[in-house]
Amino acid sequence: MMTCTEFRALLTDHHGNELLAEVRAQFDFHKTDCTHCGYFLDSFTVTVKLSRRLPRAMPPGLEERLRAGVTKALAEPGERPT
Amino acid sequence: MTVTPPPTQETPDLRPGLAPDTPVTPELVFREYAPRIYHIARRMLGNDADAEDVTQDVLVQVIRKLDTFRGDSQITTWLHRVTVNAALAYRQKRANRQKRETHDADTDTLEASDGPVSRWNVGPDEPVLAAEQTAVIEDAIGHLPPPFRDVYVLADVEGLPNQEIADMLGLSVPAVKSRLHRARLRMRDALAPHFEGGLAP
Repeated sequence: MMTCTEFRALLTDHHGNELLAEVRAQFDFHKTDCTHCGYFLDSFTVTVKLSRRLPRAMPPGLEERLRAGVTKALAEPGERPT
Repeated sequence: MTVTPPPTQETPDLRPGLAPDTPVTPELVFREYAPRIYHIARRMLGNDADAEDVTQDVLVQVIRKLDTFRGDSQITTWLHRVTVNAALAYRQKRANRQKRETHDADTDTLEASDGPVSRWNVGPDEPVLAAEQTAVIEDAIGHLPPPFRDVYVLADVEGLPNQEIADMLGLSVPAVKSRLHRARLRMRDALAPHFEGGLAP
């Protein structure tokens, strides 16, 4: 019988679809059997999915500053190693 | 080399990616790669101004080497590596300057709560994050200890594979997975008070 601690330790492996069949069966049984762990799994999954959907636009004005800064850096003879 | 300004202020979503053989031009670098570089650096460093410095340095490196790349698929892996290296170097310099104690991931503790769990009232498939939700998630990422934040940003925000992250950070894949798991638990706990809806359907 899988415990709640064991269940939560496997969440990332479950998310990556990396559980072995036997472990997965125990995992799925516990998920159904334990309401709190079922909610925990759902919220864990939502956390990962929401993070993947964070906005990607740059702040206003940043692109223009970067273009100006890069143009200036490329025009300088003494290139700064990074 | 002169970099011309964009026709609009909007930066397109980068998720769909580009065709592998897309020619890499300076304009493409600014349009497609600059936001990605900036957000990785910003989240790793937790500071907008530092991220701007790192982004500019990386963009200069990318544009200087444009002729050596055959297409988008080749440049993106290199770009991630250069960005992560630049951000880590910047963080190290900053830590030295401020004589700040650095985190040791092996001894850092990230305990997940054992308290009661409620159902969340947000679905993973809602198309757009509200500004308030975005702020909560960004704040939670910013409060992760750096070694965990790095892995979380690269894996769950940027969607990079564990092997690529391991190569970039000089870690084993199991170490990446361990840090990622602990970071996800911490993130879940940080978001829970904001997203728990109890009786939501």
